[in-house]
Amino acid sequence: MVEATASKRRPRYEEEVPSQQELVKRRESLQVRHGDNVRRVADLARVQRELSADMGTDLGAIRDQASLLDELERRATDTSLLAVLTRAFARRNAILERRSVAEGLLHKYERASRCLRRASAFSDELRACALELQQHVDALHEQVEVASRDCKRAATAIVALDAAIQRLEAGSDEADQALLERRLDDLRFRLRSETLALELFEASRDLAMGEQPSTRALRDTVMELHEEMARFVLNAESAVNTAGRRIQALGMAADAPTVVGELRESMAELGQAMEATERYVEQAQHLLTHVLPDLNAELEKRAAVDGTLLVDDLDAISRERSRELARRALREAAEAEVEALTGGEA
Amino acid sequence: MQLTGAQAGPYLRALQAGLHALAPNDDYVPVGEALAHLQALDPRLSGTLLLPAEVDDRSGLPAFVWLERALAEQSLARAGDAAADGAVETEEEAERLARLDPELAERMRARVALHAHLRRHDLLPTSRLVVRPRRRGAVEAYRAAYDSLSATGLWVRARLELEGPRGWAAGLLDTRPDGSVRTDAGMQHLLARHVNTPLLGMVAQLAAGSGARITRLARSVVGPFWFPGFPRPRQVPEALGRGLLLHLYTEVVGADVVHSAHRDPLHAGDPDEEPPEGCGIYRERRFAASPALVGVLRDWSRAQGCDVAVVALAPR
Repeated sequence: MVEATASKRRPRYEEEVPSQQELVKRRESLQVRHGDNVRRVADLARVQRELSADMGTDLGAIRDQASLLDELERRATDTSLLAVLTRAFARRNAILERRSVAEGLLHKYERASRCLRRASAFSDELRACALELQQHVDALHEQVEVASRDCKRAATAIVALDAAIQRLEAGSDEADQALLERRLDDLRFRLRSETLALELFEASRDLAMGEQPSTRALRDTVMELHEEMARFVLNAESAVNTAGRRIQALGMAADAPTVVGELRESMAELGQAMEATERYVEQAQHLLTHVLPDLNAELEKRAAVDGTLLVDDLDAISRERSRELARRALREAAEAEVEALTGGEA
Repeated sequence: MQLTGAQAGPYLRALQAGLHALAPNDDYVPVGEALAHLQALDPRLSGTLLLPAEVDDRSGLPAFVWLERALAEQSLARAGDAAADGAVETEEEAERLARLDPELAERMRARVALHAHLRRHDLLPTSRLVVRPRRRGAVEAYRAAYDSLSATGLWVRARLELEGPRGWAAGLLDTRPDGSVRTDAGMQHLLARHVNTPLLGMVAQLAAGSGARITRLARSVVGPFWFPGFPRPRQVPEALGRGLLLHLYTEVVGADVVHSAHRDPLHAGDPDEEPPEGCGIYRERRFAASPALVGVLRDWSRAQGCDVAVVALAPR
């Protein structure tokens, strides 16, 4: 219920009433921050694409060695007479060859493993970035809520001041006309001040609300990148670890036939990891070519409409307008309360 | 065999204590690198970054894939790769991150600490060959050390002395003006292929492969490391499985071995083994063991005909 008495004091706002310059500065700093975030996410996406491509190359290099292993195994199981006669002679060479294949695989494995460590660290960085953006989204929500409450306080004060003015104008029993004029002047001045405050709080709320969708979109993008990267690292880690164990075991010539079979299985796993890499590269490409340019365009569009935030001059505020602003603010506050109570169904 | 995160730290520290107690000399892989590697793997320093903790089923030492993760992380740390460090820049940032996601904050903190460690210390390489000139003149001699995280799961260093007439090593080992030696990659492949070949066979293969005379070869091995629950060979008394036991094993063939000896209770010597002319063969296994195992180990070794050195291993 609106209190119809006009207190001598200003309402207790949660925030200082922002000045126009402060709002302009705040908007500029939000734009700078948003631009930084877009650039940061673009950099992250580029690193991700680079990493994914490296990883694909490294895993592919390991997989390509599988044909050599197949050939070694084929020779070992060939039962033709010539093969049997030459096997004794070829055996030493085969062992040497197998071992050099193992050495080659080991070096390739080391490269893939290094790339995987980097991807793992990068995944953490993506997570940290997503958390930071989420925190920013939270802060914007907080700003919207505080500014909305201040709007309601200002609107309540305006309604009370307007009612007080109307009472005095309707027929005051005040004997002293000069005193009456003085009180009316004071009330009108306070009415304009609170109306300006209301407009500034609304501008502050709109500023934060306007920033929310793009920040939320950036957060979602980074979260998506992180989820994909984490899934990818998990899959690739298991494939690379399996390959590492089997590649090392290949050094033991006695186990070679079994190990070759096992190694072929790990090659199949690597194949799956590579497919994931390819999907991942496509996804990163989509981000760079579509999502980020869209966000940038949004940023530029908003920067171009500077004037929308500036509130009118104090002198231009009429009582009619004050009433209208206060009514609208109170209606919005009431609607917000109903929405909060009904969980957004209203 | 996989250890839990909680088991990994005590296991690694027990292994470090064994290395400290045995203090392996230069015949073995550098002990400083081994200790730094184990410290890097310890979750006290690296948190969950290098897990899972995998132990080699044959040697009881950290498995190749576990050791290699630290090496991969080191190459990132030393490249100064920003994506790899991912450090938060200020204390406030770190605190804020810790409130938002404690696990992530802990991982990022561990990465910074691990990278600092890895930038300061060298680790055991998967495979490394270092050759130095020993003598120039009518006889050209070199000394080589080959280190390997071997396919057996053991940490092996082979030290060899090679010599031949002037010019024998051309193309294989070339001495630069600064005294360092450029080594043909084939030499490292040759050693990689034969690092697990029986000692005299290895001498023959290295001689055939390099075209040199091998005047001395010492192969020294860190491991195996036995601990409760780890499978031991059948011939070993059960009591030796009730504590910690780290082996150091060395075998040397060379002209400086005047009296051949076999001091390995784990494997019987081969009475038919013929050392090259003018050379002797020396084999020795030393142990660091939990105090409760020292007596049992000495008795068993004596029963196998060897008097071995045993030092007490007390985990820190």
